[in-house]
Amino acid sequence: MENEVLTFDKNLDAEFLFELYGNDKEHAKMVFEEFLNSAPGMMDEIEESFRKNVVEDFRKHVHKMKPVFSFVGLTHLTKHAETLEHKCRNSGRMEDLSDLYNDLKIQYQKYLPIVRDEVIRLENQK
Amino acid sequence: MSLKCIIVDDEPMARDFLERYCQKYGNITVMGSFPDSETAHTFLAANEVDLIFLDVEMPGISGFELLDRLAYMPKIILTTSKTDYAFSAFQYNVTDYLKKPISYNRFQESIQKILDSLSKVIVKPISEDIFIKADGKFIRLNYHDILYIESVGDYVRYFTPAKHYLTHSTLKAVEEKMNPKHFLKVHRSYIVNMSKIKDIQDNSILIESKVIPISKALKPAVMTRINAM
Repeated sequence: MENEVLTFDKNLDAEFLFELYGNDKEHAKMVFEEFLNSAPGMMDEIEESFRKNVVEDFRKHVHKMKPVFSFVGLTHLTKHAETLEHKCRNSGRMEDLSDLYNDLKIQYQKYLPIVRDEVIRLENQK
Repeated sequence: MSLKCIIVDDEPMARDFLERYCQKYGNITVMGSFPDSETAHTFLAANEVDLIFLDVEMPGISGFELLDRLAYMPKIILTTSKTDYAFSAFQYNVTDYLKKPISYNRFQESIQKILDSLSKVIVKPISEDIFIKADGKFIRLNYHDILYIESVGDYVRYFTPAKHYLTHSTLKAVEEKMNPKHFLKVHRSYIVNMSKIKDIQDNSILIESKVIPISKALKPAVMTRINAM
């Protein structure tokens, strides 16, 4: 398993994924699967805190989600979440955050099927 | 050298990564993996570890608050997705600071730092006395005569029962040279001779008639060393 070269979808940060997993396909597959299990719930928590209009709770949930995107190569979403987290600290008003947050949700929904396909690709990679 | 560690992080995937990395590295035994500081604290009250991989921002008490509550201070590697804890990390004398998500290479570097710092402690030459430059000459001071050492700007002052000596140095340099068996830094401005402590009350130490403050971050180390019943 360790001596196979893993490849990833071009939309994912392959260089970073190599840093995380090397050629350990089983580890990569396990984390991608875990992402699919955990990320929707974590995004729901972010959404709930956004709706409740409590910026600090919202920031905490975004903070928790931030590194998780990178575990599946969505490093640009980690940066996006980081910007959002900074803005939470600087602004403190939910209305200033909504555009950035909506964009994060759109990006997440866009890349979720790619992560799903990637689990299948990892399963089939020799 | 093998290390016993625990992982404290509220994010399960981050914990899984560290467990996996520890397993891959070898010679690191993960004694426990905890989603919050409270459960980690309960574990640490009954078990001793060499190293804690510690997230800072967690529900309930923070990683730094956990450190404040510990009766002893293992090596600490902070694992956080924020970069603005550098000053606190310095205050708590953490060995390394890993920004999540953590690559395996970075993890290896961090473990090497831990091993280096532990081996430094082991090979450190131990002497029973030192020479300090004061009053235009080198003066021999036996460790048993020193009560405590105080930082005074660019100088440090060595206090003995008979007199005190002012010498150009830093407390950090002094700490590196002093026998760790007898001396302990208890505050950013004080190193004390443990055998000279009369009593400890709240956050201060009494040596002869001098009251010396204990910093919050260093109190766990003090409490470990006094062998309290």
